[in-house]
Amino acid sequence: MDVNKDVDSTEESNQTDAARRQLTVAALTGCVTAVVGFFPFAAGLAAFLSPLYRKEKLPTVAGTETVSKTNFVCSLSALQMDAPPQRFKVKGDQFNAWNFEAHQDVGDVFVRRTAPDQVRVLNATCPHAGCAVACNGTAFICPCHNSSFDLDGEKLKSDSGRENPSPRSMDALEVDPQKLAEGEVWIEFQNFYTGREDRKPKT
Amino acid sequence: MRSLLLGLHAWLDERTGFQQQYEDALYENVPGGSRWIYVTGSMLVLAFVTQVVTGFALWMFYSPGSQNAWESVFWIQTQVPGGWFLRGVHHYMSNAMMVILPLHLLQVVLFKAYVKPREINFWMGLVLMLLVMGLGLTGYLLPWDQKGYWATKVATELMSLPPGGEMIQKLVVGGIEYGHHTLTRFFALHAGLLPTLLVLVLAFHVALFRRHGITVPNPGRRADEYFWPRQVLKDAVACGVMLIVVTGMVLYHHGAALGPPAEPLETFGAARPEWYYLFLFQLLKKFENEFIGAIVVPGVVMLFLFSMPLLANRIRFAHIVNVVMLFVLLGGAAYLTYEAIYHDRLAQQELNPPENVDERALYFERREASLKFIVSQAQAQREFKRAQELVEFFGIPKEGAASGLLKHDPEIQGPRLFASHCASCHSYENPEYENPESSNQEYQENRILGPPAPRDEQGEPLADPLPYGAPNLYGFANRQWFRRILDPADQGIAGDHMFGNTAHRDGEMVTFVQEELTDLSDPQQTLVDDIVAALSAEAKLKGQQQADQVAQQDGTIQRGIAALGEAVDSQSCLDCHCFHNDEGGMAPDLSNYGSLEWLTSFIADPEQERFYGYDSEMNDRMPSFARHPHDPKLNLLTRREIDLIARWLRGDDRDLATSHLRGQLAP
Repeated sequence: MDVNKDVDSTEESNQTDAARRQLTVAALTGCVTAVVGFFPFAAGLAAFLSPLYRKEKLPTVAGTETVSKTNFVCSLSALQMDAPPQRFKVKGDQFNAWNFEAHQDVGDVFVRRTAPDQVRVLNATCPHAGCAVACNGTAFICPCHNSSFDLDGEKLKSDSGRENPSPRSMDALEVDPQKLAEGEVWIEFQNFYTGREDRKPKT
Repeated sequence: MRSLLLGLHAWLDERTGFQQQYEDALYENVPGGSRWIYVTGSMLVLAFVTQVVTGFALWMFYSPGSQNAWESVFWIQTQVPGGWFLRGVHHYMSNAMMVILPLHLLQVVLFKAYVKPREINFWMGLVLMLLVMGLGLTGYLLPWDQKGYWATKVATELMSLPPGGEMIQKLVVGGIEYGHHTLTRFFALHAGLLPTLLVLVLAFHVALFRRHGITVPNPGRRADEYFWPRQVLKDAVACGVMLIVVTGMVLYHHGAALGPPAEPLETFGAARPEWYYLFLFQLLKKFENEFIGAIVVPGVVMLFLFSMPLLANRIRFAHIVNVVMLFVLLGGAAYLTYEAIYHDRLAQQELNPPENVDERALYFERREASLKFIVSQAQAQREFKRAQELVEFFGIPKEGAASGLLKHDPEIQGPRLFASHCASCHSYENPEYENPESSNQEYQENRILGPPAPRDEQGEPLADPLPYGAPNLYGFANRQWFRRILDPADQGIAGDHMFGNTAHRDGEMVTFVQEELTDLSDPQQTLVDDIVAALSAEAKLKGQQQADQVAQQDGTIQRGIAALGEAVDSQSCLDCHCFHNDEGGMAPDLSNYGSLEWLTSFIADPEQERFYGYDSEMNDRMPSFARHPHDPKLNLLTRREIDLIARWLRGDDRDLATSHLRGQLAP
């Protein structure tokens, strides 16, 4: 009897052992398969996600390591008081994946002299959905969804049935006060995320 | 022979079991018999197969990258034998899919083929629809032309709206700004990831369809049939009709449209998505909060579509509601599409402003926007044709067509610079043309809108506005130009096309013309015509070369020059103007008027002595664009930009065979 009992318990423990082994093997298989299966995706992950973290590096020939933050727009004396906004291409370092070129058109701005010693510089990109706006002499109109702004870039009222889907006024860019005192308009060119009320720079 | 084939059949079947499989496929039971309404699924499959095959063929010619993409598509379109047809089929077949997809969806819902146990298959179908829309979106950018560029830019800008959207946007665009990596990523999506997913989901979709069989609301209507041969015949006929329609569209439009190459810093006034996205485009105009128009509304609609089977399983009348809602949604999308097109074409409708004051202002505003759209669209077509001319003449340099050719061409850059720097005062449009709203292609292509006439609160034009414009520079310095200046009639010197919207409308010149040149006798009028010929010849316009030569030979010019000094009543032209001498000096110098040198100097600084400098009050708002020849930093425009504008205004480079570009760009 005792012997039989022993046999039973041995069989039982053999069975639980087998089940445990089975479970271990299953878990191991699962892990190995997951690793093996994930590998093809993992191999490309760093490259795929690189737009999120990669910083542009200037070539050695540029002489500095950091990209210049301010860009020349125009001279103050070129702007007449009371004239409609003038359009300028902003020059700067241009990165396009594997291409690098210095002194290229990197941005599009409207500049207006609002006082003898003051200018207002507006990014020409519509804050609604990113098209380039046009100036008709009395207002800025976006050709895409009819957003409209006055010459200061302020959003025109959407009352009396006027369509104006833009969530905010046009983006004014900061003018370097020191350079302005010297008679030149320099700005920190910046694009902003569109379609939102707040002004969030794209970096 | 027969026994050999049978033997091969048996050998293959033993190893693959293929006979069972095609029998399963062909002898699928169709309850209630074959029907025309079932054809949409097969049509979509054939359309997709066509896209894959034509896509592979296009792939052999296409090269993503911002200096290659447009160029390679242009090459396909204009140089590769049959390339325009291949690309046209790929384009219009995608359009066909967008038409048939909603019909397929509608059929499935009408026949109640989306409820238990077919929910998952219905969801697969919706996923397929989203994938097809994704393929449409990614494909639109690949030619890297203006319309694809701007339409897609708007779409990717919208991606940043939901939480975490900025990261998705960067991953899709391949960085912050559009560039090579946007194209490589979109191409990988369009030709790799999305079609692969589509094939996988489609396989699943078809497998589940076979598992559940065909759903028929009234199967007892007619006797059951197998899929083969009657349903196959119906499917094949429908597919044939689709192919005929697609081929017809391709032939009619001579393939898919291609615009001028993308220019990230040029305003493109005709940016619109493909027609099947117009309803979303129109929806964006409706909401001041873009998040609602771009994310919330489409999201809620998709959520509703996905929940349709669950609702119908549980709630008694939900199926009816689903059917009604689907019609409402499809009808709504169709209406928004119609409205978008209607608003864009508004300027071509008869002027019919509403009575209501508020609506009136909006109506005029929309009309103005529509005119801008029509003109910009024509402008894009003109630019494409010009690009084609340039490429045929010079070939495409390796830096690409945009920076290698178009950037140097006055006919491309002139109008763009004019639109950016001159059009807030000047217009450019053929004044002889009577119906400015017409759809005449040539007229609209050669047209740049000036500032809109000031309007009051109700949208009515002001009766006597302050000077807000400047002359229409179309045909600057040609004979019609001078004829208008010396014309006292309403549409002459004081008309809208000349000085009517400037301070000069009350000036001495206008007074002189209106008082002295009215009611002229025939010999007097002939003298005026001679003056016109003589002054216009000063510009040495290429387009007028022959006429100038004739006038030189028959003495017209000499007579005209002599007449400049002859007084009409008490005054002659030379009492105020100089003409190859130092007399006059009370008005702009007419020597070499309109020549390249004269025009570039005038644009550079109209306040020079020889133009308006004789009197500081005389210059009416014209800025000096380059007053400092030796310090370009101080100028509004570079010498080169002014040269491009002047050459275009004079039409110097219209004919490439005699253009200065020949010396500049030819290898």
